[in-house]
Amino acid sequence: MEDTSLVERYLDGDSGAIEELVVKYQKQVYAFVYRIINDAEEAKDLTQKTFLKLFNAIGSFRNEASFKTWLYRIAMNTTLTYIRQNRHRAGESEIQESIMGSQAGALSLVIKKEKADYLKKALAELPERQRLAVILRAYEGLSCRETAGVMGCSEGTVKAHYHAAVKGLRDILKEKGYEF
Amino acid sequence: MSFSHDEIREMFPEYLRGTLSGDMRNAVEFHIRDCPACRSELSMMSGVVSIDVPDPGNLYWATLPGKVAGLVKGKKERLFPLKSLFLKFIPAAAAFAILFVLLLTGAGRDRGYELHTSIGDPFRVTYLEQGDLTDEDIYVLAEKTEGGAFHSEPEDIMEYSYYGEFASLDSEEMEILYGALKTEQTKGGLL
Repeated sequence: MEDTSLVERYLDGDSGAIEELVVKYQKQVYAFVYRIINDAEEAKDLTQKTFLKLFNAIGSFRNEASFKTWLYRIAMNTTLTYIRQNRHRAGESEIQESIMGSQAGALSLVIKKEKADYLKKALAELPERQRLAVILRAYEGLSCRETAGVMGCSEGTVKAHYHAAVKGLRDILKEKGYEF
Repeated sequence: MSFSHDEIREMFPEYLRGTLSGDMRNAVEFHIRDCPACRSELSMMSGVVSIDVPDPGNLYWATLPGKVAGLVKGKKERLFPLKSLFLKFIPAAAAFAILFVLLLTGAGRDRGYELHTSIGDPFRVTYLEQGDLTDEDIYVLAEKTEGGAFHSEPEDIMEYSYYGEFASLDSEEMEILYGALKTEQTKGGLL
């Protein structure tokens, strides 16, 4: 069912629409939040908070932007507010543990995992807006226009953040001896 | 069909997800063969996309929708009493607002009494200090009242009052009064 139809059903008093919308987007919201915060437990809580905020504010939803863009925007703001309130810089210890805990196996797999872990760490080191541009474009597969809608800026600004992020990631990984 | 670097890069997310159509996929692959900058960016994006997200498990996915629905409903119910209180308050507030407007505009001002024409509208009255009045002002004011009654009326009342009081005294009381005034060396109006 279309998102707008589900929203209308909810506004008409059909509480079943709540569960349908959550089922439809819960995995995307969780993955998006996790990629910003790099903490699975906090990502779970923030996913729930995102949906609660969504339904509290759903009366103000206008069809000017897509429902998905609006939802990502709420998830982004919820997560960034949490990070600012908690001065949270997640990921570093987790990455280290992940590398230490990797089982000996095919050397290529270990190298691939190590590279992915450094990439994850490099991503966490990027400035907030650049990180968001990469997450929304690369992970979530949003177009420049949709990303601009979520981030509340122009397409040109999104492109600038995105290219600066790609360059930043490349520089960080080059220091570690990885080339793309 | 040739594409710009920007157009090719715009297709990367879909390319990596495998949702790009055959023609577009070929166009991306053709472009990156000869473009090291776009190839490098695609490689980077591919690395970023391959970062795993830990799965919280089926229990989390199964319970989250119900949990959210329950919390949303609970919050609505908690808000309901406040809402009903607010709705009850609306008629009282409206009545108060109407009353306030009526008072401000002076509607019903003349209900129960009539103003004398010489007084005029009390909402427009101008208060003057007696010292501010000139002879001309007094003359104009007196002219506006009925035959100058404004001035003569208080004097008549006072005069009548004295006369009435003296008339009620007998000769002995008059003597006593006369003696008292003489003793105090005070001059009365009649002496």
